[in-house]
Amino acid sequence: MRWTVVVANLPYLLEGLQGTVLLGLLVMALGTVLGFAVGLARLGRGVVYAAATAFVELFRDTPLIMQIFFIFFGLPAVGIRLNAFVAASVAMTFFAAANTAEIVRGAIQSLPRGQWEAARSLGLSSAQTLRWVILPQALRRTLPPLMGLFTTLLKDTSLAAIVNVFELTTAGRRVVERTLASFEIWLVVAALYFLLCYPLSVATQRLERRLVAEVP
Amino acid sequence: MSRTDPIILLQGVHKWFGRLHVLRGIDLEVWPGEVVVICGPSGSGKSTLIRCINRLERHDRGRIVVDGIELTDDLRHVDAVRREVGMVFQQFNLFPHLTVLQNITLAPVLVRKWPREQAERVARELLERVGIPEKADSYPSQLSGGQQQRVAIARALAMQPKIMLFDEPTSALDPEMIQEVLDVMRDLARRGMTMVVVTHEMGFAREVADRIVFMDEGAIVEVAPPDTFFTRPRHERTRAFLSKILR
Repeated sequence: MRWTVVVANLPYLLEGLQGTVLLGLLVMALGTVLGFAVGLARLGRGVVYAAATAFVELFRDTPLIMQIFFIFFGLPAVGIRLNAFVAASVAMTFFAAANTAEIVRGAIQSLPRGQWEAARSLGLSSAQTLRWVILPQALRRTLPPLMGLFTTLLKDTSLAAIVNVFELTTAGRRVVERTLASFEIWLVVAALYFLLCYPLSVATQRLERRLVAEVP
Repeated sequence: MSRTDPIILLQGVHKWFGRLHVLRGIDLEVWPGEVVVICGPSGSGKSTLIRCINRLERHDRGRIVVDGIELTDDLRHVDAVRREVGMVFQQFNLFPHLTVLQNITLAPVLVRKWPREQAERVARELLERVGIPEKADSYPSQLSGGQQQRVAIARALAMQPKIMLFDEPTSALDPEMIQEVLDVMRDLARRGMTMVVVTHEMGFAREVADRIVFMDEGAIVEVAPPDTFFTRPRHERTRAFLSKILR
């Protein structure tokens, strides 16, 4: 075992980790905003509903890696050239948004129909009902699954390595190619992912327990 | 509208759930200040009927006119009717994330555009009236079923409706809490509120109702004042129902 290799290359790996965190945070933020919009659109009717549904199904029922390939390698054929980081961000944002949309829709539909009926029978419009009665309750219910999704997204940023975005997995691969210390480097890379995701995972479980305890 | 116009008018109302024909030609008039109790076996369409009056269900055929406004697909008409018609549900349907006071003030502030102070003053008066002024800052989950239903009544009354609909308001309550809710409803009837009440509480019906409507299989079988209804029902199905429920 050559642990000195690890020590020597740790700063480079940590730089890669920065790329992972940056990509992860970007995708979580954009994906959440877009996902809420799409999730609410799925409560609508007609064209709005159809477009939102098509978006969700398209990005949930194809592999994320295909989406990255298509945006990075496929779109240039129709004149859209994005650099690797942007391509990976776009693909992952859409993937995150499609999954967030399902979480939002699920949370809203898990509320008893009586909540809608009570609000509507008091004369509230559907927008007022959504804003003051449904969303405040649904938001709490989206938190645990949303944080679960964030954990998945953080790990899935490693897929961006396939188009050579500089993040932790790419950094690891480059070090291994140079030093041939596969065992040590991949072990450390895995440990770094674990250190990133484990606290998020524990926090999710705590939050879940707390929300379950509080639900009337 | 003259004094002799019904405040609720149903003419030939039909309703289907898929292929199930749940309302089969309902004709009913309710007069201002009247208390009408609807009873009948489960699945007879009585809940569907009162849910059509504020369009929580859409009727498929016939006419429904409430306070001079015909219920159509025109959402402005639907909203206008809902502002004048309060509804109380079997499952209370309070908003669990809001306090009792916020539950009651929500609609007056959002829909009637009342200033918050006015809405809160009215809400506290109503809580006084339903007997739980000390619960203003509690959350629904901290209340008993009977208290929750009294809050639900106060919430509906805060909109100052002309008509109150009750859909089995005591069916989800423990027996010892039924009276406190019926007391509030009795008080409401005495003050002249127009009420349509779906209930199995025949004691309440006998004492408070002006007329009792008996429904079976989506149709109105018999309409009569309580005295006649309980002592000389005309139809065999009414007698069969009463013998079961009045054991």
